[in-house]
Amino acid sequence: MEAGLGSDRTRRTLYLLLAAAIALPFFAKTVIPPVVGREARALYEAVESVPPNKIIVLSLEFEAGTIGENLPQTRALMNHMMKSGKRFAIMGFDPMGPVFGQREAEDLAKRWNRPYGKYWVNWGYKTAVVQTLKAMIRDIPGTMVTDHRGTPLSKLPVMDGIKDAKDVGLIIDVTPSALYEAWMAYFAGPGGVKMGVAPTAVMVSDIFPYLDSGQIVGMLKGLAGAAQYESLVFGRDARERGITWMTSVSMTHILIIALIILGNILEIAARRRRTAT
Amino acid sequence: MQHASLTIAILEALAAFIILYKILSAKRGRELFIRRIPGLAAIDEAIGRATEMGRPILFSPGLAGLDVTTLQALSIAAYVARMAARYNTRVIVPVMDPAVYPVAEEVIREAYAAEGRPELFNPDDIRFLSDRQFAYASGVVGIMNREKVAANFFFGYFYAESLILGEAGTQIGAIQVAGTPATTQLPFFIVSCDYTILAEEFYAATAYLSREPILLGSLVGQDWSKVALAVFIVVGVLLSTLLGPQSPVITALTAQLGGG
Amino acid sequence: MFLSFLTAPRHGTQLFLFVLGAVLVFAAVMAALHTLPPRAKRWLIVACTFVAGLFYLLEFMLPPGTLMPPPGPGEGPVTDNFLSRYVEPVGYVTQIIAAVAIGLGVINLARVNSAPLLRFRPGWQNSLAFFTGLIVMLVVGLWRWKLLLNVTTVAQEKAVNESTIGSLYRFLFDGLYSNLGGTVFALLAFYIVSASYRAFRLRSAEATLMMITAFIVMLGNVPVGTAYLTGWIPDGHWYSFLKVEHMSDWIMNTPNMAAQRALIFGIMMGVIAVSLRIWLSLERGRFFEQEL
Repeated sequence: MEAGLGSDRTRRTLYLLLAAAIALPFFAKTVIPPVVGREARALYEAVESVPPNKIIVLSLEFEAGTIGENLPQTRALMNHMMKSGKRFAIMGFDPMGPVFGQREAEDLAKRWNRPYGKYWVNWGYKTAVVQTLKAMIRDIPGTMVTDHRGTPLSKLPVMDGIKDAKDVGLIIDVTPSALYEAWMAYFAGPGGVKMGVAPTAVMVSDIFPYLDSGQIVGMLKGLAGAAQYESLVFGRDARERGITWMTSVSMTHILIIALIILGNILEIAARRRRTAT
Repeated sequence: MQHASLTIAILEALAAFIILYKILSAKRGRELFIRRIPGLAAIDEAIGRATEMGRPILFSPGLAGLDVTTLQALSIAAYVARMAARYNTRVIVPVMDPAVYPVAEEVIREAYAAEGRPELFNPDDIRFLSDRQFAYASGVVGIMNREKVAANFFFGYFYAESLILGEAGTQIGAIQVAGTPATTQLPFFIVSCDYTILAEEFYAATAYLSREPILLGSLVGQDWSKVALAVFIVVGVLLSTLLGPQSPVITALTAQLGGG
Repeated sequence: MFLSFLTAPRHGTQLFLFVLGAVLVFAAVMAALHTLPPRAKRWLIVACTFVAGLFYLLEFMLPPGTLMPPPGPGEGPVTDNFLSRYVEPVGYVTQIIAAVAIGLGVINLARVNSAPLLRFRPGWQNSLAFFTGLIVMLVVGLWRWKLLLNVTTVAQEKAVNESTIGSLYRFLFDGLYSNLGGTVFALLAFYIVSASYRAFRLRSAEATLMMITAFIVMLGNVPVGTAYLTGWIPDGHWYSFLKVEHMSDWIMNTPNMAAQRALIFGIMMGVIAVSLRIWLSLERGRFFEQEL
């Protein structure tokens, strides 16, 4: 296999072009409205259909590396839930996920006037995946006991009437890993709870079989999914994070396609020269 | 709690029976054929190249904890370490899970001892880097560049850092062999590595490398189990097509497969 | 009853004595194991592996209600078997082992990095950076955790976060750690460009087909493709399938899904085979003192 791209200069040129493709849209402030896909719309409708007496569990499994995709997804979902007045709980099996979630929720709570403890709660970071999920089916307050600050859940109005899996209207797993499989196997499946996933774009192709079988009701495909969801929540002219960042992603995709075509043209030309000589 | 339905119990018992039957028939001396897997055949070539260049080998057992995938990766690491010990080549094994670290250290130590070269084993070559994904990736890339490794082996479960590892190795000119059951990372390894072992071929690695009858028998049994599963799928598709998806037979079968 | 004794929560002196007793029992068991001949050790490992695997296998396979009392009046159907209640405590044992292993990892890191630092070998600056980061983050993190122990209100939490230690923690965590993680992940974008430019070559019909498919899926996922390329094609007509997002959807939902399912079946069969070999101690290799 060839060791590189022929020269360091070629590589540096490519990287410079990429940096320009990502950065320039931010200065140009151009936004291209997304077309909403089936999977994002299905998740939107699943959130809309959660009744007031049930809670949505938002499981945030991401760390700092994937906040570029997972944070806009989280924000889009929280915007929708707070706008619609849905009760939701943040938790995570990664220590950083609930921290990021808490910050976004506090910011959005001011925007939508949804105080903590009344509309949303942060159950915090949990360590034992299988044990926690199995225990949650039978008894959620007994498993979680307190929120992330140590306040007993019984003191929070958002937890009124929430006892076990039957009181969970929807689980949404925002994750860069395959932890959604544990949610499906140990909670959503046995508990009969609907489930949505917001993975990073690279995980998307793995999840389609579960969408087809109905084990997952909807999905946000990376940053594109977050942008589509935002356009459902705010309308096509919205200027939320996902929609604005997607312009950079679009430019990058065009650049990659152009470079692949250019690389092939150059190779065909070089091959013809070799044949001619 | 999820428990097996009758259908799932029967299917698992059938798969286990086929695999154990093939293991027993292999133990009785029956010759078994497995096709050539280029990625696994290239392991010796990669070790040879590192030996010629006088530079070390890097073996990453992936980012999963101490589970089936990592144990399989460590079995391959044992093979690589034995070959490397034979040719006096250093093997660096960075691990991400602290529970994997003592197992990896023991595996590599015993591999050197089995080749009669226990003095070559350097415990500092088995390193726990970090249990955070990108900190681990940064550490591995740092090791590749500082130690100027000549061959990289990526066997195990990987996530988004797979392309970082593969490209960094390509940029230093190392020969790279990767094998992972993580289907989402296969495209990245295919473009950045010289040889890639796809999905289930990863689980065939120990059988292929050792040619041990029990492992070969298990591999053949695995393939026959897949054939049985394929027959089951075809029968299900035909029944569903002929009887209709809402028929009582299909509904009952689907409910059974859903589990308890 | 023994299990209840082991797993009952304890506090204060009782907890300390319980942990001390567990350490002493562990030391005694390890000492006894060391005196066993190698063959006996091997059979002990085989037996423990078999029993552990058998436990989880039976717990999954035995139908709900096996050896369980019938449900009382007003209770729902029984969903567990007699082994299910032991799954949680057994799971905690594996977690404790994993938690102890973190200490091993830190010790290894310290050992590997101390030699270059103490002897000023090339790269000693990296080892210094490691120790500095480890000690500073440990001290700041523990200090902040101690301050947060008595916090019960939002105002108290805000006061801790705005204190000197809180600010330092935010600088290290948000300013350094989060941004460094994001930076390394962002490298992927650059590597994808260089990998695509290098690897996507029209060398065969399959490669061409793969490239066309990749272009369609890429354009179908971004607004510039869906809005500008085929956005002018109206929905609801026979030629609407030419819209790039519909073609992308079809590719992902039909051939891709079939291939993913096939891969999952193959991988799971492989996992069953390897798990069976490990459970029955049939796996060969240096773990099990067998020649390769």
